[in-house]
Amino acid sequence: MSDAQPPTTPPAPTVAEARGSIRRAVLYWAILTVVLELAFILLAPYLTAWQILPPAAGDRSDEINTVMWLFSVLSLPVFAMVVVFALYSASAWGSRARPRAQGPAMLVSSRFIGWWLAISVVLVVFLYVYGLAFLAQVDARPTSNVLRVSVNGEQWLWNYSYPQYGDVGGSELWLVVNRPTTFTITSSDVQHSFWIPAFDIKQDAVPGEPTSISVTPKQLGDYQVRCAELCGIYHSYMETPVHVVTQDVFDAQVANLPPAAPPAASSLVPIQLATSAQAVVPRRDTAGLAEG
Amino acid sequence: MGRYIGALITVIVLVGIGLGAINFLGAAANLPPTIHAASQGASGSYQHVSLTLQTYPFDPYQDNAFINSHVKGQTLNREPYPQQMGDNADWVKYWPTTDFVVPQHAIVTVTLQNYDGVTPLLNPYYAIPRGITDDTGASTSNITVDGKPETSVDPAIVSHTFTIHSIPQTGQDWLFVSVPVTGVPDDAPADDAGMPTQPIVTVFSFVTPDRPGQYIWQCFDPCGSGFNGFGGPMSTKGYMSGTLTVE
Amino acid sequence: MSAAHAADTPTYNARQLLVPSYLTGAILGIVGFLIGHWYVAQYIGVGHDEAGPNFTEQALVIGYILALVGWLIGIGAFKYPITWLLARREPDHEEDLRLAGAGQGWVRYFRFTTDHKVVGIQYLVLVLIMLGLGGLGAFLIRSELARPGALLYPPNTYNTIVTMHGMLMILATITFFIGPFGNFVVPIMIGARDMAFPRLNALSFALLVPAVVIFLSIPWLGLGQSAGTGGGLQTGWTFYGPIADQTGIGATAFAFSVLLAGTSSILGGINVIVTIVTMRTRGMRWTRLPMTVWGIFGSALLVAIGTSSFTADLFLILLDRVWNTSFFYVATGGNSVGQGGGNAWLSQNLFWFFGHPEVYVIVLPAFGIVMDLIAIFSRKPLFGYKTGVIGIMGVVVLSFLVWQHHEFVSGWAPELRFWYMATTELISIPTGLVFLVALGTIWRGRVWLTVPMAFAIAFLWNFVVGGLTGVFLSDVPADVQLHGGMFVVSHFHFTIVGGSLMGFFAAVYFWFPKMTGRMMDARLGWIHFWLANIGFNIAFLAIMVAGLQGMPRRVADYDPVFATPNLIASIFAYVLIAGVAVFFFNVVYSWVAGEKAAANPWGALSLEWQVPTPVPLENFEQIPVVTTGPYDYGEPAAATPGIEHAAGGEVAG
Repeated sequence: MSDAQPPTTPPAPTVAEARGSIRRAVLYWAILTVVLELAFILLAPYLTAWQILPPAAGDRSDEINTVMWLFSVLSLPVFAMVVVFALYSASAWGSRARPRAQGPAMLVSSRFIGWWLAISVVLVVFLYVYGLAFLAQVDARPTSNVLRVSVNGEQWLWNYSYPQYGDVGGSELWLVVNRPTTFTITSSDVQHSFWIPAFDIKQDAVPGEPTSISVTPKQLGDYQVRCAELCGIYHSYMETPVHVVTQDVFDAQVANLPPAAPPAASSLVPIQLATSAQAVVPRRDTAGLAEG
Repeated sequence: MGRYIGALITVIVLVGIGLGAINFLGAAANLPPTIHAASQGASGSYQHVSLTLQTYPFDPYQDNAFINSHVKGQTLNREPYPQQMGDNADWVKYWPTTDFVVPQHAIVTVTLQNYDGVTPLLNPYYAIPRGITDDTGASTSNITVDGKPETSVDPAIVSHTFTIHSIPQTGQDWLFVSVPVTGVPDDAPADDAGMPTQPIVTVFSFVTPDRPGQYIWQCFDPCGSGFNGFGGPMSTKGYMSGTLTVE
Repeated sequence: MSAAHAADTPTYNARQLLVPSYLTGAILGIVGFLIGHWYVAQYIGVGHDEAGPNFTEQALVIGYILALVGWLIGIGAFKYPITWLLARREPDHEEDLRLAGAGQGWVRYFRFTTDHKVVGIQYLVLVLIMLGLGGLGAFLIRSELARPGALLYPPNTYNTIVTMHGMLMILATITFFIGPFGNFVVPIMIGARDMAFPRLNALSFALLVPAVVIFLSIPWLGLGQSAGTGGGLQTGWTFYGPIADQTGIGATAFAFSVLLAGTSSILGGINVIVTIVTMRTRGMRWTRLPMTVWGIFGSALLVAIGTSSFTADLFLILLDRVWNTSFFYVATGGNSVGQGGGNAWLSQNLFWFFGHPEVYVIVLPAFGIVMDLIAIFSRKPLFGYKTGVIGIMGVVVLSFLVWQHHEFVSGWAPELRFWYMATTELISIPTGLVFLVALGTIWRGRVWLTVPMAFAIAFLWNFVVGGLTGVFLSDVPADVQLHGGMFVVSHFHFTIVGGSLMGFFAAVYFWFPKMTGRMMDARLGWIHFWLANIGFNIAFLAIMVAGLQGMPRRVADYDPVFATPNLIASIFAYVLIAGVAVFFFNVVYSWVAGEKAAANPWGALSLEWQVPTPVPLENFEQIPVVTTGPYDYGEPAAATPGIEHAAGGEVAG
């Protein structure tokens, strides 16, 4: 050994001592796990009231909150295990002085690894199957009594229109409580992400590639649409209100909305716009000025 | 020797970093001043204020002929005509500033004098005026363009939009005002530097909320540089976007 | 720089001191930039034509290319090809040593020097500078976010700071194991005299320097515009397609500099792979490599394969911006005249095919180093050598199969989500093996609580939080809510800062004596440890709460409902930053005036501790023959099947 101070023979830890320390560490692990779990399970129902979770206002919010609750419950013992075994070793056998002795040459047995792998695989398979069960719901699209909303993300505002109501639109989103809603989302420039935290839905708005997502609002109230993809300077201001109202209020609101676009001009297709854009390019070039 | 060189290099690096950060942040904070809307008396229960804004395709102080004919001795919002501002002389910009203060529970009449040409809208949604009122605070769908009332502007001849929207403040009153600004036609008379001699004037009013709050406004017309025209002046504060403070 | 060799008496005059050096490199680089910029601006085109190529950006790119050539000439990178390739003969041994910096004193750190130890020190200094500047970015970000409202800077400036903080930290963290330790430590650990390709090694560092300089110039770019208002980056470090085409001229500099840095990483990665595969000394079997070598090996594999995808992405964006192609231009009308047909998802896929393995590039060496340090400071053999190797290599394989989980809400290929959810959750199994080895090794050890050991334990604590929050994000239904929010920010900071950066601190405290000949101050080290870990944990738990509340990432301003966690996060982020500032002070102080280090202050068994400090130019007088593993600590135990475990013995040399 090239250790500067040659190891002296340590007092060999007896089998009983070794068993005692593992028993103590497992006990601490159990205690820490129980404390963390109890604290979490007791506090979890209040998270929404304390605004740590957004209001569960969509039809899938409760399920997603359950998923996160279950994952938290399963995570806490794993966290407790790493913390307890590392800190127990450091405090039981640790010293700021240079050790004169060496530890026991323990090597893992293949049976131990087998158990470890088996437990990991069981956990992973459980999480996976559990996630798959809800994945179907994320992709589900309602078929009857659907409210269709076209969502357009633009730097830096959302605007909405209702194809079933003569394509009227505005920058506030009005939805009907308990009525399934399917959003068709697109973007007229860069990527945005259409996020309503209260409904637990999010779908990117991608230029040229319409995407869609469905939700059924379950609670009356006012919520926020946010943008979850950095889209330029006013990304943080790309928020609009969502009003979940009854069908009567909705009908009255929609009747007052102006059309989403002027009738004649909206027939211009983008490529024609581009041609006329080309015609005005000399506007600044004739001034002999470069554009930043 | 080695230790002094090490200490010297450390000091130089630290001082350099500090000066660099101060230079960067200091210049970034060097924004145009804020202006208050000019009072026009009262209208019913509302205060009535007015704002006059101009939109230029480039800094007018680059164009001596224009300054002599339009700027010298003129006032804007009852202030002396503002001096050159901003760093990018060739960027399209709102003038004289982009940060406004208006009173709460007031009718704000905005007069927009646009000297810039046409850039077609990406989204015809903004071709329709939204959230505006008339002089008495009653909701209307008309803006006045060069003296004529209009309910919408052809998206192909829009130059800019003036769109106010809310910022994420839970509980703050929602305010949404959007007005298309008609562009100067290409064949309109212009001086040698390319600045039109006559602007197109758009006039509209809106009512401010009953509570103080912070709002932002921006242009939704792709009048900048880069992909879809939203780079350059569109992506830099102080050119085609700013704040509206209700107090 | 005190690592001068005794035989290294300076024998140079002023000309030899200055030519070649970074000074001449900088001068020729500036001259090259001016020539390239002037030529394009003068003779090819002036101004910006919206429908045609963008000449201002072309001038910038051509200027950068000539600046790079000038820099390489100035620092002496072409000495070898001109002196020997043209002469059609190999340099003899003495000439090779000259290229490696023999007899040049401290000036060898400021020129194109092939010695792997010089390159390692150069990397260490550069990486520390990058980390410091990235930390300055973190300070500015948390200052802005301390209270709601646009407090300090306009949003375009804030986005620039966010983007630069992100990319600078990623460049630093990609490099901070492979660069300093992969270069300085790995060749000695495997018993080699140098890297497999010493000149390629020097080149990979020589490319990183201009990359960083160009990167740091971004805020001041904008041609005729003053600081802060001109260039700017609105993209975030992900640099997605259309918005990267749109943002200011700083994005061209960003793309070019990150292309350079990526190239440097690929070259460095290939060099590390070849070195570890071919340069191991006699007896250094695959099963006798220290875990650090395995970690850096896995990381280098990922760098070499993954980074190429990102450099391709950056190249396409450069073409879009400068030569008006339309890889990411999508036909939506407006000013994109005559263009279109591009796809925004292409950018996301090219980016994340690199971006996800990239986080394992950062963390794999930390896995290796932490297992190594825990074995050394517990005075025990690794609990399971092959288990640890399988853990690392399992992550290497799986990390290329998971990137679509960044696309779960993008709308791209939603029918593939069930598969990527499976691979993402599977990656927790090899990671778990690494934790098994680490915990089994520390268990019942004679634990020596030094500063590096403390950071290794903190790694376990922090990284398990990062891993467990990753499980939430791997689950599609939960990810639909959490994606793109502050929860993600908290998750990856727990893995990268709490995990890898703590591993980096451990590595610096551990190998600093070997690299500089001086010990780092332990008292300052403990202050650093507690400030950094307390500040980090509370700050990022608060950010996690903000994420659960529904706060999006990269916002300059936010709804007041998120105010409390953000204020807590900002306060404790300052604590973390204060801790890191103590670390930087400690590095400078200890390098200059630290206690002189013995050759093997930690009592470690791997080869780099068996050579004298400072390490001689060719590392070993005679190439050693290895007869034992690096973890032959411990009381004799019954041999375990499957583990190569030779009983005690000296390292021959």
